Amino acid sequence: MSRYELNRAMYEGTRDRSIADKSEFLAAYALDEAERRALAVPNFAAILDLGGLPNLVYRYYRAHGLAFEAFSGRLGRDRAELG
Amino acid sequence: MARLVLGIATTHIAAIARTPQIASPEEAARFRAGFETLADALARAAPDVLVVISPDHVNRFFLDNMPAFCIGLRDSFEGPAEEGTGIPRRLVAGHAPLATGILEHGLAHGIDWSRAEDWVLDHGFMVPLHMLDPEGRIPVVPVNVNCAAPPLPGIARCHAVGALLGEAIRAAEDDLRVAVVAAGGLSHSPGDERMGLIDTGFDERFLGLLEAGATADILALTDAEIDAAGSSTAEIRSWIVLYGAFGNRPFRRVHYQAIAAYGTGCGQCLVEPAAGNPG
Repeated sequence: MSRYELNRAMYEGTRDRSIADKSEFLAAYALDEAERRALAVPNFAAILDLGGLPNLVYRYYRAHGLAFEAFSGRLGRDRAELG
Repeated sequence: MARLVLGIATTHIAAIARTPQIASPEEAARFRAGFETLADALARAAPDVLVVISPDHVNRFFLDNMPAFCIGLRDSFEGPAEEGTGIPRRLVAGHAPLATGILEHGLAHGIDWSRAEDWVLDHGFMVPLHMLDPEGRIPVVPVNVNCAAPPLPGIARCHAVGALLGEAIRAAEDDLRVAVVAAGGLSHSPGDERMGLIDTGFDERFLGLLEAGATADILALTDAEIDAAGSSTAEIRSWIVLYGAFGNRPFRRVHYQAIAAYGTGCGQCLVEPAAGNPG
């Protein structure tokens, strides 16, 4: 598990790299399976649980074209999916 | 010798520039009126330089090299770094001589500042500049405080850095009038499960301590109680740096509202040097 790589992926994916092709994007990072899955889905609750910095989690969320006001609802659904 | 002529503390939520209308017209108008009060005070103070203290929200600085405190040394800076802030990207004049003086003074007196000579400023800096000096007439020295990537600098350390920042400004050889802007806070939690929650009790208590000049109680604030008020409430560190820079002068509250649509406790204060004190 690499909290650093998880955050690096979000940092670079929201400024320097395209996240349109998740497989290609995530291949550049040394992530474990849980991290890769959380970023690929994406499940923002899982990303937070794995050590994602909230500022980066929110930017990664917005990079998916998702609305500011829908964040809490989405996070709740993601949390529910984690069980 | 340089003089501190005014201190300003303000929330830097980008919504006030991007989508102010998501708040009620009354809320947005009160917040904007607060900025107008700050801008009027700034115009009267007529500073030659603005030192702007803000977190960078993991924009310029990442975990590969995350400074606790960093000062920007350039003749100009671009900003904002992010798209969609509602603020046109522009050049902001810097003031490298004052920044260099602050850096050197800090290194000689116990602050090992990090320094950046390549820095695109994020909304933390650009929102206050857009609202207070939209034409970019006043050169800027940016100061970053890490408020987003724990472990964070402690409250007492932020206060001590502020005190030495103020000392460094007053020790500058040039006859400059310097205003200091602290940006960030108050309670808010972008990017986690508490997003949208505002801890008005914490905000009111913090503002009250600043208004009272209750230094011991301010320095007794713990990371746990600040975090309990929101994951980004840590940004009050920039306000505490300002408080230290002005020698614990009490703040004067200009405005506070918990604006639910912005998900942020929106506060604004002024602080002036003591009468007869050259700053």
